[in-house]
Amino acid sequence: MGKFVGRPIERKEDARFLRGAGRYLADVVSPESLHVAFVRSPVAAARVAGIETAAARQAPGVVRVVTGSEFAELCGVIPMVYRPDPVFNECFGVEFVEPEIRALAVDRVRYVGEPLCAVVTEDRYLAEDAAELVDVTYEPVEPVLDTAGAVTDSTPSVYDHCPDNVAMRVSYALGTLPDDDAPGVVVVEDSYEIGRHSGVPLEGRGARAIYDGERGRVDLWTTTGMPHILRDVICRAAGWPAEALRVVAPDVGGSFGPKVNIYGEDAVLAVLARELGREVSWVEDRYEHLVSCAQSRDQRHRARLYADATGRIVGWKVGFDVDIGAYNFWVGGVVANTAIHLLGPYRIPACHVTGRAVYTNKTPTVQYRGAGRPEACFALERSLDRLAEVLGISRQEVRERNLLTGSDLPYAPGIPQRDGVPIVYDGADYRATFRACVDAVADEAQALRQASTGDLRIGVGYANFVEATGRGPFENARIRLDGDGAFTLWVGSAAAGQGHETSLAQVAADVLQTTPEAVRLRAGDTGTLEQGIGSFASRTAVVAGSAVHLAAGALLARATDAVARAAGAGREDVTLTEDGFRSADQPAPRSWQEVAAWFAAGGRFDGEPALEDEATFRPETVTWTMGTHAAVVSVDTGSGAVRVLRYFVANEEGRIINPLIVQGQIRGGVAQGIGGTLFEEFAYDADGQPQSTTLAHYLLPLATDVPRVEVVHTEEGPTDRNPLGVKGVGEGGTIPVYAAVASAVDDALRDGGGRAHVRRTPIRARDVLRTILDAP
Amino acid sequence: MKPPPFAYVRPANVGEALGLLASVEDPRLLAGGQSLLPMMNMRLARAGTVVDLGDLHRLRRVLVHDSRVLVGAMCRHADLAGSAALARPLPILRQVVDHIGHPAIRNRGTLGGSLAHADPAAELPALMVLAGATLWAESLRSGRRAIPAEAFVRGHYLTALELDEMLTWIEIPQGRPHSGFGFHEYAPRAGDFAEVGAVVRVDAGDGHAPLRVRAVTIGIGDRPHVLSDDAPDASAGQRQWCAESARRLVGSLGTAVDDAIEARLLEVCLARALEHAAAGSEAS
Repeated sequence: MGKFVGRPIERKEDARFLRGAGRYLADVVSPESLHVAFVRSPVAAARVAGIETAAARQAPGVVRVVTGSEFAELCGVIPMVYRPDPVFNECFGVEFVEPEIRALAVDRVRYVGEPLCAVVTEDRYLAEDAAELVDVTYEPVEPVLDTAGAVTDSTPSVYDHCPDNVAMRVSYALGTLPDDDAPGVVVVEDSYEIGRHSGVPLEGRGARAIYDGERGRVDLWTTTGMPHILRDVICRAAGWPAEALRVVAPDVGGSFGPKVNIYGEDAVLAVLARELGREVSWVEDRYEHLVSCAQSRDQRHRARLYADATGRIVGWKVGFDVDIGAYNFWVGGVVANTAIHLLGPYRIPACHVTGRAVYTNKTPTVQYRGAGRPEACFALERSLDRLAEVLGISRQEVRERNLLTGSDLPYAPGIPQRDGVPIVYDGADYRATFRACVDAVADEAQALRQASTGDLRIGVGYANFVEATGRGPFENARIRLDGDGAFTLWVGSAAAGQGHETSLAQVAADVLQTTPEAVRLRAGDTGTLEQGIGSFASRTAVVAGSAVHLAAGALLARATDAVARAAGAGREDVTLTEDGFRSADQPAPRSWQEVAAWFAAGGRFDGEPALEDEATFRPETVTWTMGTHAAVVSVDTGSGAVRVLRYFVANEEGRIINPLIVQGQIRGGVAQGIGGTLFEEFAYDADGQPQSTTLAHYLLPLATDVPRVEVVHTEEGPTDRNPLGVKGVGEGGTIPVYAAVASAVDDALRDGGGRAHVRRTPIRARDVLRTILDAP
Repeated sequence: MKPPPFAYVRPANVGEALGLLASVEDPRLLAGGQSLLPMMNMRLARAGTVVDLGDLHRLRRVLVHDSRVLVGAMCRHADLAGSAALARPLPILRQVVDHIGHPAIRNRGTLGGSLAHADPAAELPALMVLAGATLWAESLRSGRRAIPAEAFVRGHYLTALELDEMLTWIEIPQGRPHSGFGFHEYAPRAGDFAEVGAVVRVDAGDGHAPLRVRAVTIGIGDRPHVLSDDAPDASAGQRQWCAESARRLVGSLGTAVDDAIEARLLEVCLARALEHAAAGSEAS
């Protein structure tokens, strides 16, 4: 434990955010900027027979109108971002049919909300007025709207080159499944579904682009969590060298996955800024956000769990479909995550999985907090509850029989990770974490049961998860000693509210024996750090944090050399303490400020470059976080309404950089999980029209819907896969919420003598009420 | 989400407002703007001229006469909740108003605006029907006329108002003794529009036994529905008679509610509102 790593330091950036001093995308748009409005498809699937822009071009304030076919001459197809490792592809039998994605649709539209024309005017009001005058002739075709129907012979195709609409297939067969009629084998089989929803951040998307003619470079500010990848993708699509585009993420008001994506709007802004030589901006409104920002989840699982008479799992077979909408740049990630995480934190000797990602005429999808793991967790944990019921044992007992313990771990389930490396769970004792959570919830649940009156029934539910965190390929960090004795730290992974300015400063401060206040983070700017990946997949603390640790160490080595030169000593005779560098030549330590002054004008080393160094961290593979969630819910048997009353989390994670930030991640994750479990859904009607186009229809959880979340047990299971010993915690707060709350709803309804089994989220009051009314 | 161009006027008094309503092209009255403005921003509603009634301060008063209370149409929801004069005829008014959106909405939205918008899921139109309110509408062409609240809503977002008419005053009769009011609604989250709800009044006899039940639905079909039960049987105890009366009230709706889940939710809301009202009628 260092002096700052491990301490609950309040977040440095909050003073700025909470006082309204953050600089978000809309804050960096200048008054001179032109504004863009997009013409978006009002139909789910159509051929574009014609597009008439004459009236729009003559409308007040219009500077430029660009149709899809015009834009196609300025910018090519947007390339895919992510392809899994070849070893993984081999083992999982991956087949992938790539979509053809254009920033502006040309001759075919594939979802309501797809942009197919951009209108540039003096302000957003005029832009919307002019966009309304663009007259598009659509020849609607039958839309593809559900995964079950999508792959039959008679259904239409979202892409001509993918007639069966299957974007990706994966499969693996680990061990041998028992025969259904094998003696002593109990089989439970059911179907589970998690509805379509996503991270809906407080700040929507937006972009602002300026062409710097001197440099021949477009500077694009955009709400992204991965500026470097975005730069590379736009440059490849537009045929520009990487030097022609700088991508900067300003303060970003929440991402959760949807802002770690490629959006055509960014490419349009960059290309138009270069063409017009003027600043152009686009700030998404909430309607646009709800129809065109990437969505997620939308999975259906057919699950068969095989066990012996004592509840020990002997086999697990799952076929799942992911409705990815018109496309998903991360399709390989979502499908692979689901397939891998179906194994959970349990001993499963045989597992056969087949998965399909299916193109439909809905909004494109992305990896949203959990990214395939909540769905896998839901299928497995729901099946375990079902098994417990069939065997007549408790839900705790069925889990205890199968959870990996200290004598199993580290544990190799027998399949490779997405990076091709064989998976080894680097955990300590998953059963102990489960027990800690079960113990914590017991008394509270009992008290709530006894206090419940009238039509309220109380239930408790549990769910376990594992999560692969901190994936590569790499992250960079660069750190410089500034003239005032403080430090500037650059990393590639942009923040969206995760507290990196504090947590990464804590890491550097411990190495450099300074304070977090003295480390200024500059993140998410391709103009200041050449390469980087991004903030997603619970990876920044692990990968960027380790890069910071290494870079700070390299800077310290340089500084030690400088002090040794100044002191006329060997570097081994110089040591860094809290007060500064100590060496034998003088009793007083030399402070960072003093060392910095040597490199300033007139200083001892005047003319030498400032002390600066950088490092890259490439993890060999992921590191595994595990946890248990327990939910206490009430069900109103009159209305069917479910309320989460109390919530407990026990985690087995790595070394903790900042407990406040970790708890914030967990609590925020649980809140989002409750949203997806009870409220949030992007619904579509039979024609593919989105039904959740305002926040009065897409219901986010309110403060009144989220209980206090108690993190009861945080077992440190440090990993040796990175120099900090940390594991990721960004998604674990969300992953098991669906399963834990569903289990609690089952339990609550059992009190009334019913046999409820929640199979789908969001759990609607109406569906619960129907279950109650249908109960014998 | 920016509205298309429109003209904007802000009359200083009712006469000026009526004049504009009769003369400008395609006028829309702005009376709080909690529904109109989002609809204009999404270009679902368009106005030639927005006539902003925000300066009609005289319509923001609550006047008490002997047997009636006159509420100005521009009284905001928050004004209603804070009015002592209205608490007497409608003791559940504050509770009902607390279920209209959130404080920011209640600080802007008006009684007249809610009635004229006629959203079937809105609380105030149902409550006005239950209260036996009279709605006063005015136009330059035909002057002032009275419309019973029960006859005001004609369908989804449709009212008895003529195109050149505006609501000015809502007249609420004083309540009778031994009446209790109740309200219950089901909404997915705090502040959401109700999926189903009801306001009820229980009139009790001298011995506090319920004589008559009157209820008005929220969120059922295209308008508030008035339901009555003239023979509640209280001998079985309060919870029991309320449940039975609720079942009869739902039954009397017939095909107006065709979804079993909706019918069940309405029954639960009615039963819970009745229990609340029964407690009130006994106390009064």
